[in-house]
Amino acid sequence: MIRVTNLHKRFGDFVAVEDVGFEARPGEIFGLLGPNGAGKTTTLRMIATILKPTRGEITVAGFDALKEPEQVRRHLGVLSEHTGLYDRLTAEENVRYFARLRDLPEDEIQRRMDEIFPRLGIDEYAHKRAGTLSKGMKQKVALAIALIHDPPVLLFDEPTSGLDVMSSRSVRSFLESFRGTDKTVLLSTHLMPEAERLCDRIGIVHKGRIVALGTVEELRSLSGKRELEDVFVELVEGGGEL
Amino acid sequence: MRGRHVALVWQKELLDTIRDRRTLTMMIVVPLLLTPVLVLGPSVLRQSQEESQQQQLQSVAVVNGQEAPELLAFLRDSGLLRVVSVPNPEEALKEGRVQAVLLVPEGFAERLAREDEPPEVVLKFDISRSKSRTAHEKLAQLLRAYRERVVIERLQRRGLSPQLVQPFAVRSEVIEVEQRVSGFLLSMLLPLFLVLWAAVGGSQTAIDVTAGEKERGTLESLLVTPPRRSSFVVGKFLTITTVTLGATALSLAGFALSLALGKRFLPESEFFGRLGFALEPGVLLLLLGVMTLISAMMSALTFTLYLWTRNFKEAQTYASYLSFAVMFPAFYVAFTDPPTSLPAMLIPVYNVTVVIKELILGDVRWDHIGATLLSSGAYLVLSLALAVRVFQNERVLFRQ
Ligand SMILES: Nc1ncnc2c1ncn2[C@@H]1O[C@H](COP(=O)(O)OP(=O)(O)OP(=O)(O)O)[C@@H](O)[C@H]1O
Ligand SMILES: [Mg+2]
Repeated sequence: MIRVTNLHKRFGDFVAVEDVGFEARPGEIFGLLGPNGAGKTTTLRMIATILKPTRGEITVAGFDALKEPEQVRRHLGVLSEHTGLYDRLTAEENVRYFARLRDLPEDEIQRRMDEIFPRLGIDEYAHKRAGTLSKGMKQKVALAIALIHDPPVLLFDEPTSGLDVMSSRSVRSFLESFRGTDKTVLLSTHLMPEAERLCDRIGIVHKGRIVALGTVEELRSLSGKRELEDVFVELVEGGGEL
Repeated sequence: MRGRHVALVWQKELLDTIRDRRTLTMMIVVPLLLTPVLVLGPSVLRQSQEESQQQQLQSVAVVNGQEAPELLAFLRDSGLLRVVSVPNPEEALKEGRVQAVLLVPEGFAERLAREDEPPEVVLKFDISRSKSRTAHEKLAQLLRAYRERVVIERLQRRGLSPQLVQPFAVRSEVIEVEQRVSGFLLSMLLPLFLVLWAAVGGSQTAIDVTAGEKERGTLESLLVTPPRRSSFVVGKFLTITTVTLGATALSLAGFALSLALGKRFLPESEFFGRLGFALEPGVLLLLLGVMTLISAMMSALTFTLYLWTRNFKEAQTYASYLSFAVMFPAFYVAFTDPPTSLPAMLIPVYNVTVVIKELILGDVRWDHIGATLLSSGAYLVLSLALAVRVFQNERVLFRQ
């Protein structure tokens, strides 16, 4: 579970996130949908404890992100569009390194890799240096790293950005497989169809604020629009709340 | 900070470094191959040049040679120069066809015999050509010898002893000063080498584990894992130190190799020929201690510096500034008699260079060593503390 209340982040004078609050529950995929520069990445980074909020509270899997950041990190898996790999290590060595940093026992690491690699098709290139892999292959390895410790909470920041159709599909289908399990998934995206297809509930973010929040159905009925895209455009262009 | 995490980071970064061809080139090819070239090159060049000049006879064009047949014969008999006659001597000298020109005045022999007004010969040479300088030197020497002969003849004609103009004899002897001569030359080169390697030997790795993490997008993945930031800092710092020490050791090996090669193949050279240099074990141990400390200090410092940069390119720019900053005091110490007051011995890098130089000269100054070790240790702790702080600073890690 993720609970965010009254979250603010300032970079100097610039307000990147302003009074953001939402709750993502186990079994659901919660989406943050917003245009470039809306503050999605900043919000996710604060939840992941790598940026300090200027103000506000964050609870992840029952732990306070400010008071127990180490516990939060233990219960978190993160994948972003910028996630990279160590080019001179093989795919498997990359996964092992991060798994060991998470204090997983060796047999557990092997067991998890045997489970995840075939599902993502990584076993075909597990022993190749990451530097020789395509972007899609790399992103799957990064996904394996985010999942290796079987975390209850997952943060995905534009995970399909820059991927081809096939790679996007396999990342998305992995995401979908978490619906209805005990996992909490937070997905940030600027792609309308992705949000519509994957998310149970969506918070629309604009200029650092959540301007609308609800299920896709609720958002549609709130605005009286049929398509989520129209809801989105109205909010972003109008600059107001519903 | 946890030992296991530190070891894990260290191990991974070291593997990553070993697989990097650029770093390997820096670490192995440069110290092991380039060092001998740098150390031996000048001597080989100089020696081959000297040899060829010694063997080769320089040509001297004599103008009015018929006026001084005896002098001409003296020059020819010396076997040191080739006496030639060319139509346009000055032109030939400019073009390098002859290496010197000797102008004999009219009636040279007669005036010499009359013993009244001393005639004057003129020696022309081209100072810009080393062959011409050599010819001039030889010619001047031969003329002095000839002059002495004339004087002795005159004295003998008057029944006087030649000792009148040779009141005492001079003989030069070279004493055996192996240790000091070679130690002196080494004391100029070695500190430079060692300190430079401590500064730049690990820079590729330092950039890779800092700016490299940002550029590749692996930094965020690291930051969302549970270990304390200090574990990453110390693990990465130890990697840089390991690589730096490795590079320094290899460059020392390259240096030793150069000296061995020099002694074997250039025995004529005054540097290598008299080399009988060896460090006592105790001094060597001290040297290693000082080297470890400065490597560690530079590693902590470069870690902080490169962490602050945004990408490889920016970091590499800073790396070149840094090597200049280190080269300056290192050169200063190597080629001067540097001041060693207490405040001076607290200056980082400078103090280490001074101590290395002293140790190589066999001059163990405990006050200098103490000041250097203590201050460098303090700088190391400060740099590490700074590194940990910087690694916690989101403005540095997420600089835009
Ligand atoms: N470290 C930083 N320092 C200063 N400004 C920052 C920093 N990080 C983000 N910002 C600014 O905060 C705003 C929000 O950025 P953020 O990356 O959170 O947006 P986003 O919603 O993820 O956008 P995108 O779709 O482009 O990824 C942007 O205007 C950005 O320039
Ligand atoms: Mg973003």
